[in-house]
Amino acid sequence: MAYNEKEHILSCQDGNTEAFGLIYDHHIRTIYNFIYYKVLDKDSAEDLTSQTFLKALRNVGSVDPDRPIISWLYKIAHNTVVDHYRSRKNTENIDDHWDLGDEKVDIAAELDVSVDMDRIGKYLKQLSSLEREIIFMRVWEELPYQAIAEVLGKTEGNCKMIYSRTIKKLKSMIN
Amino acid sequence: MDKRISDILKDLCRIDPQFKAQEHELRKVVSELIVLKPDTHFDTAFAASLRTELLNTTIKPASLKSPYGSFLMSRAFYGIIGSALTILIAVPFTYFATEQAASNKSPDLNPFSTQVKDLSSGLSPKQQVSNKGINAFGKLALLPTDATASTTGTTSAVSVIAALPTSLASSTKNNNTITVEYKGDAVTLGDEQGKVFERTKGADSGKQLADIVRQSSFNLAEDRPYGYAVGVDFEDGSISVNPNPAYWTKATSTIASTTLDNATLLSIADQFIKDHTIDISVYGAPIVSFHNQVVYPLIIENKEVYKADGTPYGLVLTIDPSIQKVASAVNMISQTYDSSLYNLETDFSKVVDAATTSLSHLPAFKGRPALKIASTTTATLGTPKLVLLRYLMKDKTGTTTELFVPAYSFPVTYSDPAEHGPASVFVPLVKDFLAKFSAANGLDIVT
Repeated sequence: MAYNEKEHILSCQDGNTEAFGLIYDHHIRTIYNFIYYKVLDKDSAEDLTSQTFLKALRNVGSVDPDRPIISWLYKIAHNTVVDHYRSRKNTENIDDHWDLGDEKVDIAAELDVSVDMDRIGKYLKQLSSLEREIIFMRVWEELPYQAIAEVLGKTEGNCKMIYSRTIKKLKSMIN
Repeated sequence: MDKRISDILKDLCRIDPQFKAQEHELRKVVSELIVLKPDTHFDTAFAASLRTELLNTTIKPASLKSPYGSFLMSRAFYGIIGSALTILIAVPFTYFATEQAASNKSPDLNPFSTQVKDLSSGLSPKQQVSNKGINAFGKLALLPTDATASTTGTTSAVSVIAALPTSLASSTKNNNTITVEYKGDAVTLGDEQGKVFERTKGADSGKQLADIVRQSSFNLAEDRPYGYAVGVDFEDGSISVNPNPAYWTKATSTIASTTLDNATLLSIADQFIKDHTIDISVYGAPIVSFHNQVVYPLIIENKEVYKADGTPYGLVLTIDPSIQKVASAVNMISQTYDSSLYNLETDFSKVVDAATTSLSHLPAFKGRPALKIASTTTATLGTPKLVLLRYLMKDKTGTTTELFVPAYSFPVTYSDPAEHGPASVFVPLVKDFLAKFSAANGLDIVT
């Protein structure tokens, strides 16, 4: 069956749980990855992914079927991660837990991340959380700008500009 | 990765044309970013488990469009509806599983027949049927049952569902005679013409195969313990999934020697389908067929499809009982068909006669001892249901094509419940074909 998102959302809103299953199948990996990039831990990522989709199931009636549901799912995932860190660390910089690595938590040791994480951290830690999110979404998850803009609450043009600026910044670091 | 890098560079150049002059340096940056993408350890088992949990939760998708007020939006309401749905689904399944476990007889399709119809109704979006007019496939010169109809063939609690004779070898040696009587409803055959389907294997078929692979979660060769290798046969229009030999330490030779109970087999098959997000919307409810095989019968325009030997035709999962995993999945086929109208038999008595003749001349099954039907046995035919029988036909160029011919499936009961006769007997309804079928005492027709 071809994936027809609008049709599936409408069907969902008519109470068809199976249609929600199809939406889930289409986006589970992307949402899980998005969360993983933020928590760098498989168990936490799975737990937060479960919470994200449970919230989505509860609230799918509020989704605009004419817009990509991925943006909405990202927002829920983002808020779920924020809540997770709020309750866990009670820190001032909830979105920016990558910055916690040096002073407060040995992320690589605690979260069982790969050795490459050091290299990722080396470059990405120097970016702002917004810049990092754009790299995640555009380079790693290949999201369209429309979806990125909706998730970040910015215009597409603004997202493109930030993305372009971030690449320039990375270029100067790497080269 | 080169394509991915090029795509990203093009994207960047569209945003800022000045990037064009820095392509070499940017390529390095982008390449570094792609390589550094962490392995997220995405676990398909987790995904499948969460899916099941979500779909079974009593929380149901809330509708903005509901005009019925807060009660319909409440968790209590959805809890009630969820429970009711659970009962509706669980009761027939439990009934079927219990019946099968309690009986040594072959599984009967009847308990599922209503469910199959419900499931198939309007759920065949992938099927494309092109109408080609009348008698478009020429004279139906059908080949004997294809090789895939041959099975392991020893009797067991989960073995034979039904059988139309597939071998002439022993038919004349079968001296058993039985009395056959029809006790079903009076049936009026109103349709003078009916659709015969031919599966086509052109460009649309290839596109469908690509879609099937893309929509499933299979990799072409899975690099993990008990990973699978996916084979796509564009000529045949089919996909098969087999063990990636590098990662299967258990031989599958144990498949035929041990059997699992039906409920376990169905559960393993169902989990495999979910884990690999295989679209089964064109198939009916699964049936345990031969040794450790679960068949999802193909449905074409709301009619179940059977092979000419009377076994269900469709997606076949073979389960290795020693490790309780699906060892192979075959017959994931493209769903593009041509259809053509052919004259059907309109005299129901002739159809019953053909069923009676066929049942009276039963030979031994392939590889099985002679049927244990005593001379005093009475076989009773019940009201038939309309199905499709799959036959192969060679055209003038020698190419083998698959045809799906309308037929009646009569349920059969025996005066002695211990008899090992077939549970159903099939009679093709296309007029010319039926005449040959009757003349051959219901045996396979070779023209």
